[in-house]
Amino acid sequence: MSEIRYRRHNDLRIAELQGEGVVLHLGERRYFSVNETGLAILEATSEPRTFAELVARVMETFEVGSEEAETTIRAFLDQCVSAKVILEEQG
Amino acid sequence: MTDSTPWLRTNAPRLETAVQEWLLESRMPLPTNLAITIELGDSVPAFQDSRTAYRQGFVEIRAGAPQGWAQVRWADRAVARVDATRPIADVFLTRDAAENLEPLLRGFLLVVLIFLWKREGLFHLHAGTARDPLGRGWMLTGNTHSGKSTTMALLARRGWEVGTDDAAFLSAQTGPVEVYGFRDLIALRPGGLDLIGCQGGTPLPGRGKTAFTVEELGGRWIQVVEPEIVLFAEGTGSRTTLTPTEPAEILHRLIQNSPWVLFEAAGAAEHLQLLARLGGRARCYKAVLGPDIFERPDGLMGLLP
Repeated sequence: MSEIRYRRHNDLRIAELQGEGVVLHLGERRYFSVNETGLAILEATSEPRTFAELVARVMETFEVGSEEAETTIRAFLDQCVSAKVILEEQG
Repeated sequence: MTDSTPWLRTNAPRLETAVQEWLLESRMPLPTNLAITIELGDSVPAFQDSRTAYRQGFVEIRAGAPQGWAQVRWADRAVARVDATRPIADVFLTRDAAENLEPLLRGFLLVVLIFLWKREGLFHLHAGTARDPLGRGWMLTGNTHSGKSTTMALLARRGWEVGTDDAAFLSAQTGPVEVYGFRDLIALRPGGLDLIGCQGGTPLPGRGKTAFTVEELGGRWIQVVEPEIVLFAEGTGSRTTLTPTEPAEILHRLIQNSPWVLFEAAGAAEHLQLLARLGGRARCYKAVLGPDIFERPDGLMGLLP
């Protein structure tokens, strides 16, 4: 069975200001803030990434354990997928 | 078309003169290869366009995917079609629109120009710009009723250099963020006029305002400002206060006042990065504007934390 990969929507544009991220969703003409972990995930998903790849990225960037990284990423992905900010693709 | 305005082609010579004078007086650098065609007629075309409209005053704007080109419309009086990537616009006007120069230029055509300058890397922001006597650049953003014009008029009265009271354009050059001011009259409502205490000016009966040049107010016009201090006007109160703005809020407020960043994919990343650079370099404050700044000889400067 192929693995799910996560890729951010092509309509997103991202900027960072003093550790805070702001994301534009051009297709829906709206914008929202993300924290630095969310920013790192959105930046990483400019290319399709597996959950495991995202966990490794967050653990390395923020020096957190795997359990904390997995919980944080799962919660963020769930929100983003439901808001169509990040898309799920079959590997 | 004349030799003096190779960028403007129209079948309405009187309108050509008015547009030319207004744009040249703005002192804004015209986009390279700018081409505007204005056709005066009995009616204006109705383009098939199912995109959601964004309203700015009496103007409706449709831009971005899927068509790409931008449509700017003033009811059934005027419509413009702006090329998706090049500074080219076809404008259609009724005679009624052409006879109402004030809303035509400052309401409708200015929005068309915002898209044309965007094609050149100049991004509009609703903001006033000024430079204080210490040489520091200031920018005051806010909506229509936030007190921008009255404040910029006051600063001009105090001898500050003032660029614009609303039509600012961020430049996408490297280094410090530069903001161009569209030189135009500063229009004051009766309340603002009383506070400023300035005689004369040009009455604008259609808008219920009186307009002044920066020089008539006692200041000097400045084309480009590098903002060190950005104020987000939150409205008026009994006293003027400046409160530091949290980083998460800065970009939100800049986007609110530069909504064009949300319209088109082309240039959006550049526009957003420019807003982030501006917010990252400047000291940013939320400002409540009160009548006490009219009594302070140093105006806003003395209120900086």
